[in-house]
Amino acid sequence: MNDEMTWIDQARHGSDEAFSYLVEMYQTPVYNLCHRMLGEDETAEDASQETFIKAYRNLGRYDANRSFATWLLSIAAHHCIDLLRRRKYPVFSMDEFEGDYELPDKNIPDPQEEVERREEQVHMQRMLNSLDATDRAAIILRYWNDCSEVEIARALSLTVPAVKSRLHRARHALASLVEQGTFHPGRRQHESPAF
Amino acid sequence: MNHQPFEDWLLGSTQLDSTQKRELEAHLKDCTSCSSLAEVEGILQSPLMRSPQPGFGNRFQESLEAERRLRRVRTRQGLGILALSAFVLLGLAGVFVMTSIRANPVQMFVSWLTWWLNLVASAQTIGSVSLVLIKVIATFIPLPLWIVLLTAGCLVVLGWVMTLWKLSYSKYAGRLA
Repeated sequence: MNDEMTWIDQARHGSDEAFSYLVEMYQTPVYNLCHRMLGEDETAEDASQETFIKAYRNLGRYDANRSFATWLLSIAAHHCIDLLRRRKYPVFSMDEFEGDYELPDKNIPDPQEEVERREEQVHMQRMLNSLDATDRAAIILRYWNDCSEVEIARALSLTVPAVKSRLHRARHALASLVEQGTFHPGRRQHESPAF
Repeated sequence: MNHQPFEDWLLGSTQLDSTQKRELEAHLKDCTSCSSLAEVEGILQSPLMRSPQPGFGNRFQESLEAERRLRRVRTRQGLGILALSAFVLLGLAGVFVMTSIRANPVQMFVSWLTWWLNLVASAQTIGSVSLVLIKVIATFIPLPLWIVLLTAGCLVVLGWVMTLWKLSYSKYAGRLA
């Protein structure tokens, strides 16, 4: 049994300390998902806290044969989708978002490139906010959390073809925003990850 | 313009050979749709992770403790309301019974007995009518239709049970477990 399973097992038996190890381990992916979904620090913090509380309350229902990370991200994604549906309008502060990024490390090989990369991410967040909540969750799980299509399907209670379709639609929606000039990060044209 | 092979090359994880790379480059120069897709894919491939402010774990413990306190308060309030309701109902019932017994105990006993007898008689009548109806309808409906109807009935019951199970099971956690 690995550390994670030991902590899960102990947490199931009521150990707060064991669960706090799990919180430490997964706070960044969960917070990142909530932040990318909701676009605000405060709501992302609240949503992350709520996710961990829900996980703590439902730990008895977690199937140890599945990935704990995916289970946790599923709770976070559903919670954020519910919040967005209740909210029904996008809330996103560009100034707040830009200010949140840490300054680039001067020791990195090319600070200018790093600044550009971060600007790209700011613009990417704006574009993410234009997507449907479930499509956004699928894109975040795929690219930020490296989830496979099967894992995304489990996390979002969708079928694998539905995930493929949503990813396809979301990528094209983002690309059309780029095409319309909504997003212009300064990336070299025709540079593709396939090369 | 046919985008399909190029989209697959852009989004797939397989390494392209030199011919495919040249073909893709040529296509991207002419196709704004695919070049935009390549641009988006490039950015998505190197995402930055957002981290919470330091002390997230401590804030979680505080939230958990606050949530526990809230649950305790709600449980106490729920039990209090339940106990008060039971007390009020029992009190009202007690007052009604005592008043009736004092006023006319025989009449009260007779009315209770009549009520129970009516209930039993109604149940028997409904049972008899249902049996007659089933016998009559059975002669009109052919066997294949019976099978279809029973299957549909079973499916409806199964759907109902599944819905109840889904609603009662945790909204989030149950989906993966």
